[in-house]
Amino acid sequence: MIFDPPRLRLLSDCYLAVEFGDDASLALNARALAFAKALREEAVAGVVEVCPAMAQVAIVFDRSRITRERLEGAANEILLDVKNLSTVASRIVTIPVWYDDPWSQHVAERLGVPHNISAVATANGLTVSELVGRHSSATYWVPLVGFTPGANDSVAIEGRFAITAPKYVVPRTFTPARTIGCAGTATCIYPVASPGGYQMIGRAAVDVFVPDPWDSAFRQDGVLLQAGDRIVYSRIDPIEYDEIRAQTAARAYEYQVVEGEIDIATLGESSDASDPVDVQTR
Amino acid sequence: MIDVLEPGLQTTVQDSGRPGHLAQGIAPAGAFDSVSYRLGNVLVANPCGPAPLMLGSPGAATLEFVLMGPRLQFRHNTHIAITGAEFAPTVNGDPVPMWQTLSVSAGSVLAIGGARRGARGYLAVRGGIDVEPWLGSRATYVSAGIGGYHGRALRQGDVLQIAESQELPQSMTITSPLQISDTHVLRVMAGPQEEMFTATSVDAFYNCDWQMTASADRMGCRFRGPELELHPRADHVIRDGGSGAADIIADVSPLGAIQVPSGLELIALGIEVPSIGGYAKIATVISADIAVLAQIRPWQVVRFRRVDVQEADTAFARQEEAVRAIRMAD
Repeated sequence: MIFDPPRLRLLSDCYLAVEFGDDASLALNARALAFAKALREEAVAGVVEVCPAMAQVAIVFDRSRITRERLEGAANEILLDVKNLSTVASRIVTIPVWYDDPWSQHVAERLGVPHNISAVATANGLTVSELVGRHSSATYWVPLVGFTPGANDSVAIEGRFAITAPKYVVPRTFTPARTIGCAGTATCIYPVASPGGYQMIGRAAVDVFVPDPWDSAFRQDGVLLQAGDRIVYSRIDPIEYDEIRAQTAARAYEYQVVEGEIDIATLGESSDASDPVDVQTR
Repeated sequence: MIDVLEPGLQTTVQDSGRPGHLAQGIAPAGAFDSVSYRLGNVLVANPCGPAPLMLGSPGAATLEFVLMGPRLQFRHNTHIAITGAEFAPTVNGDPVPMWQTLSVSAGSVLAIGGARRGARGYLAVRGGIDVEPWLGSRATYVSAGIGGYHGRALRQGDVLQIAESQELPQSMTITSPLQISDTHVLRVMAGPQEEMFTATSVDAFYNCDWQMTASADRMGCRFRGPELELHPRADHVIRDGGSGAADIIADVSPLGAIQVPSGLELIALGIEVPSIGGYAKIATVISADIAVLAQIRPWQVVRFRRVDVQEADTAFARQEEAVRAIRMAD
């Protein structure tokens, strides 16, 4: 459901949420992100954090500097400003991936679970090669970043590229850093080694969280992918993987990022349409 | 410099945290019990910084320890203060008071020992612990392995640098505005998904005892009690959120939010709060009681008491006023 106008409500005594709907819809997400961007640019005194989720933006505010009433007033004004926006800024970031990598195989063998990428291919009625072809042909949207530093989900913008995968019933205690995981219709990149429950289908050659980044594609806090970015996962071979790892180790790799914007209408107005979007946290 | 002779259970460098990065999944971290942290700094004339998730320049870095504190040796004369949970610290074997400015001489050994009441304590050292800041803060973000001393808890043999300070502390004794007891009442506001729980379950949440488990850290504290029932969910929430009874489409989890995965246990989110979560939240611990949450020991029992936002604001304003009054008296 779309909330028109968006609803304001308190999540706690210092978090105010602006909610655009209750669906996992990419169009609602884009509206939430446009609002978050405008709110940041407005630099309202007393706003500590602007944290977007799927169809919601949470604002953490400092009560010694702004009252709830004034913050609600400021939020409502910005909502009017962005109401008729038809486009939002959206970069396209290329993530080179070694699909069906040996580390994912090794972790699956150690756990005694099926080879993940084969299981995902079978579940989608594809061969591994077809699955890789589909995954690396689509453009993915990053609806949100969070949970832990730099962690994100991405979903194929066009439903015909969607891949579905079950989560692990019992999550792994270990996932290598930079593993590409699939669950529901979401793809994630594990920024650092961590527990996890997404099916491992490959490993990115580039880092997505670097606490002391050298490339301007990163924010100063070391996080590469931002909510509202688009990702293209590009298939690379083991030799290319090693070359890119050597370049990142030397802090010389140039991240492939194209600035741009996207027409919100192309993201679909509601998830009630035929393309389900499943965004889950790890 | 300070030599770590014994590290204690989990001793970390903490200041007032690094707000401003939640949208990248970066938690504020910093001292879990901000009241005790700030008052420790007041006692040694250090800047103490703002309350969690508030604006202002960060306070000096202290050591936070939990349940079992460290044993440390000072290489130089300095001033220290120990605040927080009730410990029985000694310097060179002689008992020393908490909540008081202490002067220690070069070579002295401070042993914090075990907590007798409460869970987390703070050691403030004149000038503050000097580690490389990350994003403007020296706080250790334990679950991400970043910040503080090499992103981790202290180990035996670690050596801590102390920053220079021009301020000479006056000798002070203060009374903590926090009442740390063995029976806890946490004040909460209704959570963002309270309506997903049945009325009987909401009653049970407020009228039953909840026991904290050993699975309690700076990210989240788990509590056991009755199973809570949730209403059946809309089809699109089941499809997009997940199959568990409390699964939702991921939204922002505030500091202090109480998630109830599958209705089976409570997870109250602490100072290393994951910014986003996929479970229904029945209530949120008010800002003034985050420091109380930090002081609950595993297996202790808590009750939750519901307050409205006005009461939450008043409690927070009173707590901040108490800290301010002690700072001004310095």
